[in-house]
Amino acid sequence: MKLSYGRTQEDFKNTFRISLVLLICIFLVLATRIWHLQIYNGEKWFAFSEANRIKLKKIPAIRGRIFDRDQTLIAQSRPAFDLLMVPNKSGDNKNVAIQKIVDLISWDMEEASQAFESEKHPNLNRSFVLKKNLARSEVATIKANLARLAGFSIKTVPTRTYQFPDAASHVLGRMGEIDAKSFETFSEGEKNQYPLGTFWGVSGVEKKYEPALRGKWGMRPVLEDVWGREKELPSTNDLLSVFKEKKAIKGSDIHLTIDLELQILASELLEGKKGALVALDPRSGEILALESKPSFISEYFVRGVDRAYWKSLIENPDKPLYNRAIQSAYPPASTFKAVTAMAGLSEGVIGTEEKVYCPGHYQIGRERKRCWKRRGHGAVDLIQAIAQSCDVYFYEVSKRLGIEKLAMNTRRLGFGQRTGIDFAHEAKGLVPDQAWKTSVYNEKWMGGETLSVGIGQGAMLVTPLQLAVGYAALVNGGVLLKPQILKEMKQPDGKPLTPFQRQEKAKVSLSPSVIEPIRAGLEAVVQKKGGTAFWHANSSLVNIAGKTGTAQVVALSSKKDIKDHAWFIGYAPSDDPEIMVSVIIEHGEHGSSGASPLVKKIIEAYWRGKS
Amino acid sequence: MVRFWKKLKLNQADWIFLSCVVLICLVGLLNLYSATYSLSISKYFMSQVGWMTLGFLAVLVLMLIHYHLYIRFGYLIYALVIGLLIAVVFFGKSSGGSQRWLSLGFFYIQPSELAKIAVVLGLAKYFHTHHQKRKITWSDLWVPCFLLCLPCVLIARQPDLGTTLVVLLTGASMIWFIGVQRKILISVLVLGLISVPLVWQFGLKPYQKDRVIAFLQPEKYPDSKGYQIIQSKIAVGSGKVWGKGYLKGSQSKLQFLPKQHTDFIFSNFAEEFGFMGGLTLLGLYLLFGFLGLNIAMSCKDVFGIMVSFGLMTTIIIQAAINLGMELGLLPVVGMTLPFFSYGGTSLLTSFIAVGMLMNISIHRLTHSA
Repeated sequence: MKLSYGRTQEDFKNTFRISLVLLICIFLVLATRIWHLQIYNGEKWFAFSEANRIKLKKIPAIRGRIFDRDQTLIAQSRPAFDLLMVPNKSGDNKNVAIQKIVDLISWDMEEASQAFESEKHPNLNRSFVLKKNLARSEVATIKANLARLAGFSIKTVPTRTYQFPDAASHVLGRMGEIDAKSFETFSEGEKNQYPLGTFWGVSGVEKKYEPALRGKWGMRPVLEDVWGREKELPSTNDLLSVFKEKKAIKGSDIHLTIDLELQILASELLEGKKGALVALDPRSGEILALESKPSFISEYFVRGVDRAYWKSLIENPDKPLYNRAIQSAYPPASTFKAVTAMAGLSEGVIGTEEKVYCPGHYQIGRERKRCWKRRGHGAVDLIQAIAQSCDVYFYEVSKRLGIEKLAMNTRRLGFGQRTGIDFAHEAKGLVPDQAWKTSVYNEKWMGGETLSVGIGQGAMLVTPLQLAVGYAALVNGGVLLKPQILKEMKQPDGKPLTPFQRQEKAKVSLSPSVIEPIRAGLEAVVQKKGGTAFWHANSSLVNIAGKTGTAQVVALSSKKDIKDHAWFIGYAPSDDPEIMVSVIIEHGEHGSSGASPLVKKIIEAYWRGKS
Repeated sequence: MVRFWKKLKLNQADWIFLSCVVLICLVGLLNLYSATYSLSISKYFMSQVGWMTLGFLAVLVLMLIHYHLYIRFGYLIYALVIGLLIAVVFFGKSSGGSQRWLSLGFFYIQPSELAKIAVVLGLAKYFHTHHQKRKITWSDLWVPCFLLCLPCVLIARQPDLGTTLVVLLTGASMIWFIGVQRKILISVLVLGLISVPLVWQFGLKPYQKDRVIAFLQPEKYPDSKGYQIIQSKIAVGSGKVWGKGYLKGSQSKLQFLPKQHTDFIFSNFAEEFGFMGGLTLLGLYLLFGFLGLNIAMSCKDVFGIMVSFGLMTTIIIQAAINLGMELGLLPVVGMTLPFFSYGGTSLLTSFIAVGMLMNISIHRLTHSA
């Protein structure tokens, strides 16, 4: 019989025969194997299935600890205790069994029944958690009576705990249960490390260093009888001996750059206010303190957050979960004048000696812009202009610069880009220029806007962390540093893993002729009579320098009495800076009275701690 | 009306072949009910019933479509599936470390499953339209090898080793079936042997190597993979001659057996129905292969022969690899047992193959155009 294109069925006869033979061979091999397993070795495997039901039980790893820079323990692992119940072991009447427990630990019977009913009980021989987080006294009572409590046991769960509940919650972050969505994306190996329902870091340091803190989970073979009851391990069992126990490996310890004393002080200083504080070492970029208020209490999250508490957090209009130090961008106001001065001197549009006359206002086109001092400052040079925060002087410098030069110099100090601290949701801030205005509003840049940017208003936005990093570059000779929170990582046995290394993001060329007059101005702000922060921030302990800022808040609605945001950025000692502190207090009114005293207290505490 | 039905010639169809599939499906459902007994019956069992119903509808529809239509659209279907596979690279949904699924708005599909059929159609069309009276020589191999390797590369990078293997073996057996020179056969075998250490060194991911090591010496590597193999062996072996009885398999009921409803479904069956049950099921798959081969051999044109041989081979290869793995004869690769394991897309693909085979069986006695 002829097939298409000249082939006949005869042509396939050979391969057809071979296929048939192969097919039969495959099934013969499979059948032989089944015979081998079920008949030849059937009794052996049956014995294994009857007596040796080996399960690999996961052993959670102890989470690594967190220390501050002076080895003060901030976070560690504590045991939490859960009450387990095996329904089939607790007698015929579950209610009687539960009643026994309820009587022992003065628990509400209704609540206890609820806990039992809400479980699905896929296997009545398996234990389930009847009550989470037993108190120590409850654990003691139950353990003492365990003999008459058939079917009940206590399970120890390693749990995160924080030594200082009020401090550094934004730095440390929160723990949270692994959600089903993240779990789906895990590989097989990760699923072993992160079983559903365990806790991992969801923000802050806990999240950033999760892989190191986590450690490695272990495995322990356990025997279960036919009905899923766990049994003692007989050491002679030959199949069991192949399942070796794999010990859990503790997580690495994290040593932060944070100085806990400063951190706690910062927390106290900001208490009841809305705002943020960042203290860092301008020489290395190490963050000494980072606080944002209002905040939350990390400890409440370690085993699942209470619904009411969570609701209170997310419904709070002041957003306590929001880390203002890195997630909020504000107009830098007058703190920005040092940056404008840097731009002016670098571009050579103004000299150190040159004086600008301030009559209290400045005319540009048909617009008249005011100085904050209505009477005017008179003729001021650069140092006086910074010390007294004269707006008119900086209007003039900005006008001479133009927006492009001003924006370019501003970006050199890291503004308008993430600092790279690598916490989630870091804000970029904003350095406005013509390109930005075109892309957002498709409008031409106006000369008046340049003046606003020159005194840190208008569309200009910075985060408190950016401001500290930018000022650090100004005073450390032009090194733009990456702010870091990790001092050192150590294995649980104390072996150091990654020692701290200063990371330079960029080198900004700033000649001494640019830096010196600006630093003199910043010193005059605090140390000279007439400086804007002389009364509030001058210290007898150490020479502080800095800059105040008062950011105008545009009232959105009828609330006309909204107060301005208060800024202060300060450092000390002024001739060889070791600490840089930036503070914003929302609606703190004046940078001098509202913010600079906080910086003074932090710097003084740092100085006292040194000696 | 009567004429219409007569024209369809349904009486010529190989109904024994379909009965064999129905029988495997029924036993499979019975077994799936047992395997998911301690998980969630409603979730798995009912969903499987739904997919099977859909599958049989697909068989009925495909039975009525003359397979010569695929001669015309063979390359188009092939190109379409390749397009979907490429789309997975860019828009695929990742889960469990691999990227296999593609969202079609309201549901997800797994294009690698469709590739099994597309490759069969593509190769069959090529061999049908290219005159090759003689045996295939080296220079004839370029086009079919390209048709075969393109989807394999796309599936392998997802990564989905199991499906890659099935597609590759199916395509290779089709090329072999059309008849190749003996020297090519020998060269490929030698080349394959040489490439084993190379693939081991460069081609496999660490977790895949783990599986092979665990397979060779499960007792020495008691990690999760060795555990899986041992538990599967215990499940099968403990069934002995008659099995532990329906719903009484302790290995799966107490959740010792991982993936008891997908890749390791046969272990559950063998535990409860023993050697007798296992042998019966094996016989059903053998019958399926035999009848599939019979359809191929009674066909009157090259296209029909190649399509039916290819489709039968795809399913038999999957069954053989899956059973070999569950019985500890092959390393663990993700592979379902056709008509038996839980899983929508792979089930539907198998039914599509059955539907096409049924149509070919109708027309095998008629002379082709």
